[in-house]
Amino acid sequence: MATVVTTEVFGIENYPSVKVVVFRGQIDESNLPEVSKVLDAFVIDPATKQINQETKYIVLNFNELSFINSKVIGYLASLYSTASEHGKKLLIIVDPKENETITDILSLVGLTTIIDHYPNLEEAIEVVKTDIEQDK
Amino acid sequence: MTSEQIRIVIPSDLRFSNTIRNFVGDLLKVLDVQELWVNRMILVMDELFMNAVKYGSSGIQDNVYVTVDLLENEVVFYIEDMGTGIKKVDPEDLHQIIGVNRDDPSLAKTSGRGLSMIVSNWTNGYNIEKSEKGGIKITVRKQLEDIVEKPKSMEQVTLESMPDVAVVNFSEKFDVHDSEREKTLIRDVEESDKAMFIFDLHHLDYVNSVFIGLLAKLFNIISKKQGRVVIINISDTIKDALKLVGLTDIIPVVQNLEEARHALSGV
Repeated sequence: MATVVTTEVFGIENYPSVKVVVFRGQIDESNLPEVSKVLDAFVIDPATKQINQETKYIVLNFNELSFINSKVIGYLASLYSTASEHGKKLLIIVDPKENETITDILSLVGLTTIIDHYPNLEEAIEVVKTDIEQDK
Repeated sequence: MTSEQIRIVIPSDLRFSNTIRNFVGDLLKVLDVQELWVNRMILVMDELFMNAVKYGSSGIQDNVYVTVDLLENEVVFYIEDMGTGIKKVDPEDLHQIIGVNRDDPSLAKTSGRGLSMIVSNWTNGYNIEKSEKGGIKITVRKQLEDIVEKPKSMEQVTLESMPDVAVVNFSEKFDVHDSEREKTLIRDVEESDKAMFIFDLHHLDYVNSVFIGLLAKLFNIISKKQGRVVIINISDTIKDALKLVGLTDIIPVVQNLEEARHALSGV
């Protein structure tokens, strides 16, 4: 009955400011709180209530996600805003060929016009690495 | 399909969102709706269910009523709430909310915007009215014509060496949901200017009763045309199945095209 999603978080070697989150399953209002708990922590550290200084790039891999609804879209838009306000970058990985469903809804509501998105992890990380190197 | 109706009652709790999604998904798959549209309609109904739970109900003791009319070329969903939500919303209010939020560029404002964008873009119209259940009844309509998988026509190939013979490649097994595909194949065989047929089964690894019934029907049609048919490239498993029901007694089974040519020409 319950909507199930699993999240896998990992870093990128030599780039500690990058966090990649892979989602598998479905997200709706019933399990959005558990997802937001993971993601919000990359912006505001829940322990200190201060800005998370460690993470600058949050890469969300949606390629294995099968469902999101408008509530999730709203949350992502809000996360993007908050992250941007605190100097962080939110990126989405979604391949139109691999995941037509998620691409479809993100495009319909216009999220793909405001959040940078890439078809796979390699391309997203390449962009992030370039960005980091340019900032040095 | 003629008019049929399905009704389900779901406790008013967002933990049951998955139930409505599975219901809509399964239903539309039975109707051969394309996967993209199955997923879109799942989202449409998820949004409507979420709306009914959040604004039209006061808890799990309430219900959300979902009715689906399956018409000839259209599927119509009705979703009704009991109107017991803390914030009373009447149909006019909801129309207003949807209209305002549709034009609001803020992505974060999702309550009416999501409902509006998704429902208005992916359905063939919606209506909001008072429900006899006490709350609001939203009706959404979706025409099926452009969103169902087109029935696969038989792959009829005429070989240069056998101009009077049509080769039918059965690329996939038929099942109970393939009635349109079956009709198309029967029509193609009936209307074919060929009387000699080779049924190539090399893509099939098993058959079911629907497929066996179809072969018998096709045999009868070809016989009425004074034609003949042979089967080629059949696996041992399928051959056993056809033998069991006596089909191999009336339709010759040979190894390959060359043998089929000989069988059909009587050489």
